Amino acid sequence: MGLFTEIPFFMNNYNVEIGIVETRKIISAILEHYNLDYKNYALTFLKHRFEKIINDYNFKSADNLIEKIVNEPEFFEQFQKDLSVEDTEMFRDPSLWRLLRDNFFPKLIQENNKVKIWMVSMQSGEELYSMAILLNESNLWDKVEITATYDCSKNYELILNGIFDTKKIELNDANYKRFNCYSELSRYYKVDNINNIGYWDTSLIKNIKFIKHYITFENSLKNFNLVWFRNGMIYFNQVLQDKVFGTLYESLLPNGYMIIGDKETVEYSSYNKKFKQIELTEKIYKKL
Amino acid sequence: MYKAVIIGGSAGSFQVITKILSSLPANFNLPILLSLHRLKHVRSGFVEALSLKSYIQIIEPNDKEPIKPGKAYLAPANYHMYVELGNRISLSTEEPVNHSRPSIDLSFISAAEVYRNKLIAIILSGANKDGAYGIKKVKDYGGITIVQDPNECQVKTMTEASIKMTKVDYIFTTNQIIRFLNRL
Repeated sequence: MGLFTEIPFFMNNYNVEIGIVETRKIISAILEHYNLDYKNYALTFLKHRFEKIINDYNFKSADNLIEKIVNEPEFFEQFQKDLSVEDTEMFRDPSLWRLLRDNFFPKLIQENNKVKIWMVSMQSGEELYSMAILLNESNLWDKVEITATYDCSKNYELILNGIFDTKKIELNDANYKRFNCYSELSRYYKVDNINNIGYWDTSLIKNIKFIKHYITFENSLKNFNLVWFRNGMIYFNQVLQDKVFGTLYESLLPNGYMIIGDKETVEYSSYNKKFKQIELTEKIYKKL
Repeated sequence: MYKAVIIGGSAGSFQVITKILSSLPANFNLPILLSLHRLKHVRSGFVEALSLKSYIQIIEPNDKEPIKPGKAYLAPANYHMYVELGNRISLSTEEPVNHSRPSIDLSFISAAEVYRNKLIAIILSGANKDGAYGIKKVKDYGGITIVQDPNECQVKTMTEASIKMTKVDYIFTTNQIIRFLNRL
């Protein structure tokens, strides 16, 4: 499967469908052979994702997929990439990015000499490059230090090389305009029209430190002023969400901040009373 | 005996949805899931517009929000909305399905798997085929399937695709849909 092969994705073309029993069987096989535990991922999501992978590769059944996972570690690496949701966009929720630029960062920088940020479990480059562009345009690099973690090496390579799918260009450009109407996003990328691949200016992320880290079971990194994990936890069930909120909590310095997706909440976790949402319309929390 | 109502709609369905919601009593005792195509980048305004005439509380749920009777859950802009085991909402930013996020198919399929024959699914006016496969899955699991009468729809594509894909239980006008829901 190529980098960005256009997979016709119409549900009614699904030849193979799987149930909850088979979904659990795949989870068990991965745990047994790779010691990676997907048990506490959101089950409906995993089922749909496995189903999509089975059909994309024209496998006949869940057993077919398990066989391949178990016997071919190289396939498993690709499988991890296929499983990860990398379909985000540049400046998703432009109102948040404007708020960061105009209010949040100026205040944070006033409060701290050096602002340390952890961007958690990056599956693609959009959030990182958006953040880098914001810091560039606001001249903040000398005040900010970013650590980005990733768990899938294949995705990390794409991020590092600044590679993105050109079919998102229109959307990305439009989002950027809502962030900064005085400039053009195209300042920051080049397009290879023959292969439909876009390349970010990778010098944008030259100051970002990358570390391989699994947020679902590894200990937290420490001493951050801001931890950033948008739309990652929606793929976990409540047990795992609770654990990850704990990891994020531990990673923050006193009075540190946490930013999550606009439809994610700590409300249903045991950390409800340990964070306070400080903006009405954006999910920016302060550690209490 | 039913556990939930799920409604899918796209172009031309806004007025129909508004009419349905405004015709249900405040004590309507099933949850209503709304998977409607909407502008990706406009996060606010839709719930407010739908709420104007509705007696039922309409919310754009957070991820893992518990699903409760008497409330309507509108799929948030730019997210897919699933029903998760344990009767909670689960959201996703996976790639659009049938060019849509939220995708009606994905919402309907997950609801069908969780609620099985205790689900009532309704497809309204719309301009693409998203939802047709979803309502088939509802039918396969023994749920009640209703499609808005294409003759009444502003855009017929979605309803006609649904009728073509599966033998739905009822083809109803808006008024018939309202009467049906009020008799539950």
